[in-house]
Amino acid sequence: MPTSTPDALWSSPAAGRLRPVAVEVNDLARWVGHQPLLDGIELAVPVGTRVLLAGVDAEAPSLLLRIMAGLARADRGSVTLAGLQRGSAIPEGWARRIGFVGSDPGIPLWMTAAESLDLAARLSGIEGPDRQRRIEESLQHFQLGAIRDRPLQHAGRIILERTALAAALLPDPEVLLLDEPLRSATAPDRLRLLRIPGERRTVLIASRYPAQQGGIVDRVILIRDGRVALHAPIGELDAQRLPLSLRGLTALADLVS
Amino acid sequence: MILTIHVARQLWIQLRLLGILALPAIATFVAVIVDGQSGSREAGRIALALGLATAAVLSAALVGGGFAEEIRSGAAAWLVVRAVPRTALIGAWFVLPALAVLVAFVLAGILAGLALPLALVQAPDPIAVAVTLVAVAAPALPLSAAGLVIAVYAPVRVTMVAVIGLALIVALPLVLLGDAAVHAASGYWLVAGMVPADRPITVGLQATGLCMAVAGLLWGVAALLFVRRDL
Repeated sequence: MPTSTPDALWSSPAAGRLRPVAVEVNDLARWVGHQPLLDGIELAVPVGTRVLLAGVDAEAPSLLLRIMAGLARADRGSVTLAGLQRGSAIPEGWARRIGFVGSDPGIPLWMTAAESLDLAARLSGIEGPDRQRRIEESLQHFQLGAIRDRPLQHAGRIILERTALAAALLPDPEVLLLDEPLRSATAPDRLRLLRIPGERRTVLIASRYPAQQGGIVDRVILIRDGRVALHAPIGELDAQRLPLSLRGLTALADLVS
Repeated sequence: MILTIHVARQLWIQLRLLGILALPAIATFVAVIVDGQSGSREAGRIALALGLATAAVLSAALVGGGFAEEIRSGAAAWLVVRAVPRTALIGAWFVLPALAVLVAFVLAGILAGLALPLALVQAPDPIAVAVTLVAVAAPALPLSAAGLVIAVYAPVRVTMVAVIGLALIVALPLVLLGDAAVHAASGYWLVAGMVPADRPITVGLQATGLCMAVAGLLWGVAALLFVRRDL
């Protein structure tokens, strides 16, 4: 599938050398009640990285992703995704380059799987035969063909989650934000569906269960006390013989600091 | 356009649009029955005015409930992450039902004109009739906007009950004060024959203008709250 960023840009030698940043977060803060869940987050994620976001406070990674997606507000700070800032981006451009799947699929249940993909494509500005082709490919890849024309209210949660992921991937986004994705899926299904192709695509996964993300991510980020306490390649855990778990990430953060 | 179609389908599938379109017609049928049973022209008029007022309140409750469900189900978030502006979403949830309310009340007015011996709706001046019908539909607009304000934070049932409660709280002093020339419910007084029908355009326009001003203000509050709300 083509990406929305011109191929000429990506194929330039400069892009390969510079490893441009896909996700940039500056001094992001958000208080919930009297507690700063995010307190000065600084983050730069290179293009093509698969990142696990975990938090000592389990709400923090989810909140960070929702702020990035425009679902929650920040008290201060800025977020730039794929070179775009949400407030100033053209809506179709944002919808095409940034994908988000929340822990709640959120798709209107009266829609069929095919209708929800069609609406996602239209909102991303994908028109003509390309739209139909992408919908058919998605239905096939996510094994939704059998229920394509049935309202989703008759489908189980696993189908809803798959449809939500399919809709997010339909515009072929450059940055994909996944908040506890595919919770109902079996382990092999999760691995198959979350090993998302595309070397230019950057994927951030927020999860309370880091161990489930093994084989999917190549970097880990730990948020502790509202700040990034660890941002390291996943190989660092192996090097220190630490498990991919919240305890392991916390121990690695202590070692690094 | 995509958003408008989406909201229209959402309203239709939840049967809310059907309710908005049918309620004024049902109110008219009830008034016709009351008129026929009582044999009193005044009773028929008052029944029609009360019925249409009830239809306006229930329509507003349906709109508020629909928007609350859009937020609670996550459908609003699903649209917002696809860069649908929040103001456009809440705008569609106001404009589309408002048009439906207007159409429903005009149809009910035609029905009333055909079925009831009301002096007003049988008046030869079509502009006066049209202005009166719009004035009768107009109170649904600020109530719908109030429903949107409540729906930003409240669940579906709470929103619907709150809209109905708010309508009762607002209506009571209006009835007691009874200054039909200035207050928002003047259209009902016109229909009920409690305002002299020789100046329906003035009264109707005053009522509609007041309702639209309050609706605009409340919609602004709802949009401001919705933009700041976490989804």
